[in-house]
Amino acid sequence: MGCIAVTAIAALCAGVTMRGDAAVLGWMVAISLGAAGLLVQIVVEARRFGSDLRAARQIAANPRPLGPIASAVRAREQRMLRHELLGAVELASALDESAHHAPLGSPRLALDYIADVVERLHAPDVEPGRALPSPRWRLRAYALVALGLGIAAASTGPLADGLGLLLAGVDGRPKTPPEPVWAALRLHLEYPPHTQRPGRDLPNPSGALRVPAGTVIQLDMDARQPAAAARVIVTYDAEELSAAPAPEVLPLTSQDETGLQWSGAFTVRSTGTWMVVLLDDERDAVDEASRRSAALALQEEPDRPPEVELLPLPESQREVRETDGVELRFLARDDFGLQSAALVYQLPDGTTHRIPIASPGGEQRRWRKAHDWDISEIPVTERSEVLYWIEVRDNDPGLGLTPLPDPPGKLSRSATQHLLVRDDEAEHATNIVRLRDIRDLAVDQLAARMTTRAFPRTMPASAPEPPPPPPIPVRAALSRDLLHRGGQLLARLAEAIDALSMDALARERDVATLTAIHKRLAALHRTELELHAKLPQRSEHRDPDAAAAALLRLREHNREEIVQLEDEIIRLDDLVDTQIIERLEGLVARLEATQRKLVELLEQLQAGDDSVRPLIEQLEQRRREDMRRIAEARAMLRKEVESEFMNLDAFAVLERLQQQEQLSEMLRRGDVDQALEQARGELGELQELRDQVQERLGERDEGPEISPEERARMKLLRELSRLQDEQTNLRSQTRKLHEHWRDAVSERTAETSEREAAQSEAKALREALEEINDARLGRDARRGLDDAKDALEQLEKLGGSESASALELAETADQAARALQRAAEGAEGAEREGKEVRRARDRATRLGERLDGALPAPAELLEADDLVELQRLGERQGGLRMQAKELLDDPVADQLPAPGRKAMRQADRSMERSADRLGRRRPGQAVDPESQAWQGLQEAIDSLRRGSPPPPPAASGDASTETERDRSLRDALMEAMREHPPAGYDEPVQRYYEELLR
Amino acid sequence: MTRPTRRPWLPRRILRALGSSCLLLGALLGPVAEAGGEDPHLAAAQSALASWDLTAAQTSIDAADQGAERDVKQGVLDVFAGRYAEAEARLAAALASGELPEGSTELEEARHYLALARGSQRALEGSVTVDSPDGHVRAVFADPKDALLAPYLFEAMGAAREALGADLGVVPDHPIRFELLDDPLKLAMITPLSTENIRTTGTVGVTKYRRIMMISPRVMVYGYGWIDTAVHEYVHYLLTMRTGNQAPVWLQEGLAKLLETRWRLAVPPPLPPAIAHHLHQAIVRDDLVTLEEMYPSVAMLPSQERAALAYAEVETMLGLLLERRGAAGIEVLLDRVAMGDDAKDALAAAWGQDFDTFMEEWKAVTRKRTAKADEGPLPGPEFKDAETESAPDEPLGDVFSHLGGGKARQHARLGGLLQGRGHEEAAAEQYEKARASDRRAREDPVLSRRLGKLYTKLERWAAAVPLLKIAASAEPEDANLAAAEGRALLRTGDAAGASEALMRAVRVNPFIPAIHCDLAELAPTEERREQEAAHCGE
Repeated sequence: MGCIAVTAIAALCAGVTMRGDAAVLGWMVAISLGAAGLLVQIVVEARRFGSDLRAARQIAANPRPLGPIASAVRAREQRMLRHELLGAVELASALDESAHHAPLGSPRLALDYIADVVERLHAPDVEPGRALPSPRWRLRAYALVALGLGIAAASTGPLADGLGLLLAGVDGRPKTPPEPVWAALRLHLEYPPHTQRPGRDLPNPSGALRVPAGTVIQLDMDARQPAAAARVIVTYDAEELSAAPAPEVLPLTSQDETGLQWSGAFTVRSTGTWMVVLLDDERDAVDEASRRSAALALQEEPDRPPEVELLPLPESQREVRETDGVELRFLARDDFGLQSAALVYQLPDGTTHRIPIASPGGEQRRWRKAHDWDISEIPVTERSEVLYWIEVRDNDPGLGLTPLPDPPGKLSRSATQHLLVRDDEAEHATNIVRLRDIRDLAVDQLAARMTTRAFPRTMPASAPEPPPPPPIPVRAALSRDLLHRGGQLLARLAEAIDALSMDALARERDVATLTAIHKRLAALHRTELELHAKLPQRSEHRDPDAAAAALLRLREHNREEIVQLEDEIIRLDDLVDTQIIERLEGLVARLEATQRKLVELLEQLQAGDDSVRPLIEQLEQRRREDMRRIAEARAMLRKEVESEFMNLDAFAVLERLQQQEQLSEMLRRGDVDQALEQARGELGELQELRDQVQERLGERDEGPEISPEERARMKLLRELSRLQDEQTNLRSQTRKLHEHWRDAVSERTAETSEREAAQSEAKALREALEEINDARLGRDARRGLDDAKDALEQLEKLGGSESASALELAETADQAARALQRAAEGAEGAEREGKEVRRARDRATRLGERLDGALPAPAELLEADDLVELQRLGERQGGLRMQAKELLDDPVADQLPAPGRKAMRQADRSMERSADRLGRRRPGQAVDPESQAWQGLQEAIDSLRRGSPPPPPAASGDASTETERDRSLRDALMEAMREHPPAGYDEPVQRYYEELLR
Repeated sequence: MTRPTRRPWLPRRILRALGSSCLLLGALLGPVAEAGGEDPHLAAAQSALASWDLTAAQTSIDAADQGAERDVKQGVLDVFAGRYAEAEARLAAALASGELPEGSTELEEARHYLALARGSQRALEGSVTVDSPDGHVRAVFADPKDALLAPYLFEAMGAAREALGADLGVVPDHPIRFELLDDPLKLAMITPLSTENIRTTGTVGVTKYRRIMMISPRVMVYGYGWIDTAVHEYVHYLLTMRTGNQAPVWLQEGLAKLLETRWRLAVPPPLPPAIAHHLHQAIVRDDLVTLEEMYPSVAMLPSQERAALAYAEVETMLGLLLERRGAAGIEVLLDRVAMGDDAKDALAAAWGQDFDTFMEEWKAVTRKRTAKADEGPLPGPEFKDAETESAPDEPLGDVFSHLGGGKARQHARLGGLLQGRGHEEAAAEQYEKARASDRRAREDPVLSRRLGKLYTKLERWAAAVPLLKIAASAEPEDANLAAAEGRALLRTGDAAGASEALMRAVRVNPFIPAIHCDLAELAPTEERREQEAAHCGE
């Protein structure tokens, strides 16, 4: 135990002092001393217990009883027995000595006494083991436990370390560093730009440098001794020994002639060490130099991959139609900054498509984005499940030793989510084909009934003489065949009704029409069945007369069937025609929408936004797909309505679009202007054709088939649509002028005072926004608030950047003000949160105005032509406003529902604002009101579409059945299509035609 | 073969006019009758060539001094005479001699005619030449298949020579050379027109270099009025000779249009309704094409509509002169122009009052005559291409919108649907129901055409004849319809009617094989019967 204790103490000492070599010496001395002491103790003990007499004396010295204590008397006797034992031993010793010398007393008595003592020692209650005192076991156990606990407690600390040092017998202290080569060292750390960190000075550093890769370390050193040359050696850690990078040796430049002051720089690219080596001669090898500093550690501060979290869509939005849009919200973060984000979706065939998401500007560390995803961009066929996710890239330029796997930046992607996209159009096309087949089946049945030989026919005079009727059994079989055909037609009709009911693009009225057809034919079929019940199988052989009578009745019924089929076929044919035309119109409308979007993207591209290129490619692909479908629908229409009704001019336009050079080809050549010009021309062509159709239809005289209300409604729709187109055009031109002004001012750097003021105001405003309890705001208001916070954060950042332009500051402040305006609109005005949002909005507006004021006014920068154009636009806007007012005062506006009137009033106010700002030569400020005016007009159109259509006109003419009705309405449409092609149908126009066709 | 409902009457008229415009333009660019050369014989040759007098030109050339310039004139004369190989050799030698000064007219002339001689040889490679029995016409067919046209062309030109000779006072003493081409590209090879010009304007005939170049109706989807076009070009030919190439564009085109049917009709037909409507609108709106705008060529007007309007204007102007002043008026007009008078003054002299008065009268009369004309479409010509080897099948859909609503329309539609599904008996029954429903349907040419052709298919000839007559009256230039009518009339025993209808078809598209089967039955001679039977096919 003592040995263990000594060892532990020695290890502890070694652990604390790191001197394993000294501790082992101490341990050996202690162990030697311990061994010597043990020997001494053994000798002492041996001496102590070396004879019977000394043993007896020890026994007598122990007062404890020799056995269990039965009584006090017996305990005293036992204690006395110890002394008597001593006496007996002394007597025995005396007897032994008397044998050699003269006896001291009676030997016999002595022997008897000894025998008596022995006898008493053998008494049952005497235990000889108790004669001597027992060893001190308890004390030893305590010591052992204490020692064990001590070792355990110190096993992970210095004790463990010390034991190692002790066993090794080495001096564990770190070696004394060589004498520093410098008397003073100053480091300046220049962080790479993407970290957005300011530089830092480090005088006389002693520890590890932890910096991001790409940091440039500027070194200034005062050497202790003069040197002829100095080098910095940077050694990077190797991930694999076989691929250890060679040390970088960089020369330092002498700053004076004494060779004492040196400076230089090196770039940290990974974890490793660096040291300074002083050379006595320029030609000395670095590895042979005797004067070198200690290796100082370099630690690469990692640039972690970005994180992105995509919020799942609400359950109701996980299945969408191809014409829908969904809003994706995601949050992305990065330690140094985010560079770009993209929405990636994967189609069932495994192909992936990437849609760039516009970055908020600058290299922010946190993005909170809401991206409106236009589903129409997805090239799906029928019903498809689309996987999608968000990919973000950080701004890591890859300055480290190890190249980035997929530059630029590091890529992270969110969790994958699913979206079900339905292509209603393809399903609808299938249903149209189904309807056409049913019509053809009905035509076949009509022909069969008209020409059947089951019943005698009345032939026209010009017809050749008919052959004689076949025998009764043959006629009966033929009549049964007609019955069977009727059943088949009804079954097909029932299937089509089911399919059409599920068709999102089919109107309810069409399903109702088909159902009514089925009902009428089914009633006739039942009657025919009843008649056939009187003509059972083989009855014609048994009773020819009865069969002939039954056939006579069936002949009468067959006439009814023919008349009914003549009507129903016309209804079915109308249904097919209408469906095809509507499909075509829908496709053309979609094509126009695609074209419009293409123009917008090309405008963005022209303005320098290169991120839209993939979108343009996708839209082109979609346009090709639309063209293909239109060609398909056109082929179908050609079979149905012939070239007389074909919209040849419209199709010529479409063919021209197909033949024109692909935009992507022009873009590949870098000819953006030409591509934009072409796209605008194509769009203009489509719009012009649509306008012509509308105009022509509007000019047509009133016919008895359209009620005055219906006509007024059509006129209103047409006028609203025209106003909206004008407003679109106006906005586009205003934007163009605004861009001219932007180009002129974009290079102006903001004044320092201006920046700082904007920064502090943005910070204060943002903090104020943070205080608002956004849980009490509506969904839209919350989004607005979030967007405003982002904008203000960006403004703060710009305020801190010396290179920020005045335009950037002003536009970012405007962005914040607009976001807060949205937030204010969605907040409850009477509540505290609403008031706070409004106050913030006003502050942001004032800030924006102040920053705007620092920029030169457009009137100062725009060229004379632009100013004239600006004035003209202002007048145009005023004119549009007047037209809108007149329209509202016109009796046709009675058709406009209340929401539509409200929207028109809003549009009027927006037009007024726009005209005012254009008049004040502020095109940038006019764009928003122009957009609001456009939106107002759109809402008015929507309200008109949503509203109940006017009552249908009273039945006209003397048509005896619906199928004999005057088809001049349909013809009017066809005529319009023929003369002036209706390309560019948008929704209102489509609706217009729906009503016209109804 | 069948064809759609609209007849390309307008293109035919326009095309003829465009052809003559090219003639005039070409004449302006052709040999200039001026004494520009040193050698007076060559100047005389130049003048003779300009007025297409090859005999005089040859005499002058023979009298001229030897040399490259003489060779050039001889080469040009060879081109005019259709001797392309000789022309090429002579012109190439002249150019190779180096004697023609750089920038000289002779050099340009030599290069132009050398290219023309080569192009003509390439275009007519493998051609066949057929001379008319009377020797007045020489037809060169680039594709021997087109030789089918020869007898009809000769027959028509014989009639035209007689009629127009009397009207215009010119009877050529040499054979008229026709070159019938089987590809618009070939027309571009032998005229200054580009392929794009030809396809855009639908040009089918050009009179230039003392010959008439035309495209065969075989290469047009629905054919075209090729015989009238040939006569139209012939009128240009005669007018060039008659006036010494001094008639302006408007006069050339006006007379050519007015007289293009003279070979078969004593009186020019009225304007088609659609173009009459167009002309009426232009007079009312004071939006006429001025005579000055027609220079240098009507083909250079900005649109086909404006060109059609221009032709209608000049045709009716000269028609009015003919109507009021008779053949004498035309004669005075041409004489004055030939003497070098301004054409407007010449017209005024022929009319008897000043030109403005004539124009006022013309506007008033024309406005009144065209007041009731219906508006109609102005479809363009259609060349065959690789995908359009033959005319598309006749459509069977609903083309009865003009019938409005009611039973007639319903049954007509049902007829179309039944016919589309192959139920012809039932379809005929429905069409008859439609006709029985109201009078308008009974007289409707579209429905009549549909049912008439269906009856032809069902071989119910007697029923078909009246229907096809109604249809043909609305679309006289429809070759398929005329062929069907001819067949029905033949089967009902009306040989004269059948012959007239079949010739109507031949005038537009003689490449419908069935026509020749019927013409073989009607042939007056065995030789003609064999000729027609050779082209017969069902």
